[in-house]
Amino acid sequence: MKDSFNPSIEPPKKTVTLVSSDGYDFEVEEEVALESQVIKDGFEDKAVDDREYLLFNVHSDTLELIIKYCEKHVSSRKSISAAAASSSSSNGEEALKEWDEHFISVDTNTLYDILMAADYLNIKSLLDLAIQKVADTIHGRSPEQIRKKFNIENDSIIDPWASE
Amino acid sequence: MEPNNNEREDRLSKLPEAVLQHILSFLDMRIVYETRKLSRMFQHLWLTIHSLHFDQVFQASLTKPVPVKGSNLRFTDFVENVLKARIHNRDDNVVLFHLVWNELCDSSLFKSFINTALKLNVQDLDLQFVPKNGVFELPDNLFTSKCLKSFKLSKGVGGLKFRVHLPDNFSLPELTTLHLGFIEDSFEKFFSGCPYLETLSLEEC
Repeated sequence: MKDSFNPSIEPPKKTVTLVSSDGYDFEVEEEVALESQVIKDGFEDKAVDDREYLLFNVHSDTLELIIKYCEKHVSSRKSISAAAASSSSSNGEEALKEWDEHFISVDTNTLYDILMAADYLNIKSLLDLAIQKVADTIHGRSPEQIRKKFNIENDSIIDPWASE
Repeated sequence: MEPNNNEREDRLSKLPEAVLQHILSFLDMRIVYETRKLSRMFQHLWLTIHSLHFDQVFQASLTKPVPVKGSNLRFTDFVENVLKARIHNRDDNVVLFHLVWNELCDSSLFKSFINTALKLNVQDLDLQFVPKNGVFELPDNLFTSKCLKSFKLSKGVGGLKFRVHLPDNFSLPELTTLHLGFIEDSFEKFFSGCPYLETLSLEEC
């Protein structure tokens, strides 16, 4: 089709609608949504006007954070590869790491929400980031301190390794 | 301010088992082992994780304010017992075995650890150590593993370059990543038996 090739008009960005568990619609760019392996799987088989996903267990507060993370990672990847292509020096990866660190410095409840959403949406880098954060919290604490930190109830009936 | 109920909730224990195993697989096995005391749910979880990290330097650095029975296990006994437990449970889903051993190590013991890890169908072997007399032997079945995807071999901190006895025949059909560090003798043999090698890194070889 002749009309479709007109360099002066930018093609409209393809978008996907994500619907949070509390019923809010989030329109995001396709490449941002594709950061989720769950959305990516079978994406091509879906009709273009049917690219809407009801994320039944992701609250809008969490979804907003997840989208922010994915947008940042998509744009950073682009600028890192652009810098590599022009062989100009870039501290893109370092800066992204710092951004990640700041991003995941949230209260415990938010951390769990992000973790569960990353697991459900299968966003590997975000899942690893959240899991590392929980692992860091366990690291260096005694079982009693861990229990306190995470509100774990000690329901062990017999502890075969308990000190006498 | 009083924390609300939400903040007092134990959300860790409510995570899916796969996610909890994933969390524990980021930690040294010594820490993972301690989590069995947390609650009944955690009692057996440590035996089911897919990545085993044993870092002798780290474990030696752990100071225990309260001595607990069984906690003064020697590093080597600890590694051996955990591996034995996995074999005993007829487990074959250990994906990663990561061993850092900085004391002069007993070659035969080290060899038996690797052997056991291979029996557990390990896919990713990451070994750092200081061999006693500068020569190192690896178990033969390492070079014919059908599961091994990644193999890293290097010296521990303070060690010197070492030599490795390599067999003439290699067949590592799944190996895609190879890292060799501080190895004195030639390792070209590796390449003929690893048709799918994608990433090779050498450090002071």
